[in-house]
Amino acid sequence: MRLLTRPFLAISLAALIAAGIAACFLPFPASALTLSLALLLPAATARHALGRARGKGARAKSQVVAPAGGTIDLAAASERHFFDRNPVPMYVYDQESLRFLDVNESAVAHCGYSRARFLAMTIEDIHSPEEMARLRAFRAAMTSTDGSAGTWQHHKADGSVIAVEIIHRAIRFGDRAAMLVAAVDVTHVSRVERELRDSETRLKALADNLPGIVYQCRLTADGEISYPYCSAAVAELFGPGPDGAADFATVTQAIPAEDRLAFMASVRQSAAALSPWSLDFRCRRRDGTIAWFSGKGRPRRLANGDTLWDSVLIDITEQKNAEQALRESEAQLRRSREHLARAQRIAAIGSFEHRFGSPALEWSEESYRIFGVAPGTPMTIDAHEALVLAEDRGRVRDTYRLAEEGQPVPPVEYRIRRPDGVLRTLIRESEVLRNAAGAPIGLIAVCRDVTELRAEQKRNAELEAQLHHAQRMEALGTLAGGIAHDLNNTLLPVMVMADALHRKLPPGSPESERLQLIRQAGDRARGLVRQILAFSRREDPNKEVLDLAALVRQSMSLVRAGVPTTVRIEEQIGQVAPVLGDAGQLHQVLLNLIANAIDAIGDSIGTIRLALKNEGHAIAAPGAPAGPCVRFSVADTGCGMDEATLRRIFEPFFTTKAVGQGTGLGLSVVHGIVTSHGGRIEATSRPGEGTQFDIFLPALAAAPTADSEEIAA
Amino acid sequence: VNNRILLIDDDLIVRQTIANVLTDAGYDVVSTGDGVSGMRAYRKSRPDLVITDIIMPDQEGIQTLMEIHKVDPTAKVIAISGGGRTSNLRILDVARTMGASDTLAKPFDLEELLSVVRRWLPLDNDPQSGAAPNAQA
Repeated sequence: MRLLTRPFLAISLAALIAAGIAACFLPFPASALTLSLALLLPAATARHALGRARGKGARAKSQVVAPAGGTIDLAAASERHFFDRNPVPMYVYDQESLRFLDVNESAVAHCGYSRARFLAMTIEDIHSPEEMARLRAFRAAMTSTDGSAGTWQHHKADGSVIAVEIIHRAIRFGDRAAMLVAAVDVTHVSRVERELRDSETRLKALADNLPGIVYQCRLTADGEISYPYCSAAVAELFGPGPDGAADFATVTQAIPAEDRLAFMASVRQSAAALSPWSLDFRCRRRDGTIAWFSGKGRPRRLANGDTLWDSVLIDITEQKNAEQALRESEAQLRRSREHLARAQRIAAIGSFEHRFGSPALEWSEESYRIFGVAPGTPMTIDAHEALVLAEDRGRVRDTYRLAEEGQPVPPVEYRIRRPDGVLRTLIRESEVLRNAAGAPIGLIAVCRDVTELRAEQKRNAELEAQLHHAQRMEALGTLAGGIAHDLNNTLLPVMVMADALHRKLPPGSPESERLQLIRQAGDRARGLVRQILAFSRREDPNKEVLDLAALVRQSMSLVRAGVPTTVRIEEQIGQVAPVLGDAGQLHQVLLNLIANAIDAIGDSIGTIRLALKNEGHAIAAPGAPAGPCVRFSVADTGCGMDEATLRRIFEPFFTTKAVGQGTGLGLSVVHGIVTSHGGRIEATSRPGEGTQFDIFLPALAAAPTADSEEIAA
Repeated sequence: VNNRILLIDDDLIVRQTIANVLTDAGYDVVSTGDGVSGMRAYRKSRPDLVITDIIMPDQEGIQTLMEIHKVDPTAKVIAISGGGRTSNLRILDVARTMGASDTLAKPFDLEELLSVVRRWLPLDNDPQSGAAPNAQA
């Protein structure tokens, strides 16, 4: 910062005036010079009282200062010349009347009054009216015979006003007590001084009142650093310097050791590149607290090679603290957002918010993932609704309606088709957003993809039903096994004793015929028990690698003879993958299903369709993973059955046939055999539309794709 | 005369029936109701043929079968069964594997019984009996 002290200015101004006056007189002869200098320099202190009255009537009161000694004889040629030709405007006035007695050429030229006009005026005539009081007071108090009278304002002939520095000396002019006056025009100098003074005051006030420290830093070529100027604020923050005055060194001493190197380095760098200096650094204040300062300075190179910065230091602690707090708060917010996003990702729960009156829907990151929409895509109610399946849209709309009415919104489950075409099931739980007055203003909701959950629930329900069924079958099997064992023992004496008695009776006798009836009943009972045992037999089948196509054809060649002529049999037996199975048991399966189909058709005309083919990806057994299977189907065009019947057909002893026409074990046996083969049987039927049984057995290896081979019935 | 048969079955009526018809057919039948007493009778009388039920309360027929073969590895045993009450095994197949000469599933008729018994223990005076087999089937 540039600094001009007032004493310096004052001295400069005085010197300027002195020099100017000296310059005026220097070219003149020594006697005149001596006189002039003696006359004009403010050295003398002798005081004379001069009576001086104001105006014409008051002249008697004018103070007259007696000449200090010697006379100036303006009549003398040398002095005359000095007076007349002096470049400084000079004049002589009568101390009593204040009337101009003489003026030099410069005064005439400078002020614009003619000599004659001058001589008709008093000194009051050329002074500003505003100065009149001061002039009179000055004159009344004037005691010294010579000296500086200070600065005054004179009116020129053209009406302009100039500032003049007056130097005067009391002289004798002829018989009159007069005053010789040199009036140096200082109009320009005076304005500069005032402006400088104002500027200096302003700058000092500015420097002292700035919310910071203003200082100068000087770096010598030798690397020595000093601080020529520092504003007063430094003392408040860092205490006074060693000499009690503001000293910027107190600041550098307050920089923590670990920051000081950086501070010095930045100063040197600025000096080297002559680039603006800027640094935020920490300082310990006089109260012990650490503060942040932002320093900025502009360097310039001095003639001697030193670098001088005009710099300012602002306390930015609060700003830094606020920035830090903001950063922490932002980091906290960022962390919170990240946590939320992560939590949503882990839980697979998305969220969104909607303000009534706006079409926008604000989605969380996870919501975009759930809906399969590119993150950041602007979402609206309509865009969201477009993803919802048409039949579910009403339910979704209801949530907005309820929320707008301020009613609680129940969870809603709906399906969406994602942009990639995948169908998903979502569940959404919503809450109404309200303003301070409690009025509904929006809706916030979380949504969860429950597609897998629902599928699993469905699977579980199916598995549970299957398990339940299997358990029932198992219990029935155990029961049947027990019954069969006891029945077998019971039947044995019946059959054997009937035979034994029969042998002892003459053939054709009535007793013999009755015994035959007992034997027949025994045989039927034995058949029944065998079926029960077959059902209850839960041991592993005697498995071998089988070609089911061959097995089916072989079985059919045996069966066909027993099929009524009203029933047509169509076979669609393709080449299938080999399976592991018990040929006898699987033959039994085929027989039972055919028999069942024939019974279903009854006396009507109907068709039984047999089909055998590969299934690339099917579930063979409940709970088993899907894989290659062989599917054997038997469909009839018979009477079919209702759902209640369909649910129970595999239960042992369940039959819809008339007493004596069926044991109710045929399908149970089929079920037992298929299950023990690691397979699965499905029945589909409708009353009046026939029934189809599908058996899935796990394939051993992939077989050639099913080129079905049609075989005529 | 080689016509002595030991019959082991826990079912009294079955036991009486089989003993009755086999006695009628000319065999000398001793019967017991469980495996333990059956073994006692076997050691005592060394019958020419044993007919044993497989599922019995005190001692399983399979065990009886194995104990008989410990006493006489060439003993001829016919296993009979009315099927497993709870077992998952095909009991008669197991019996055959364990050394039973033949098996009969209950209920069988008189003809089936006599033909199997005669196969393993032909009666010299019985015209219906075939030649005794040389080895176990």
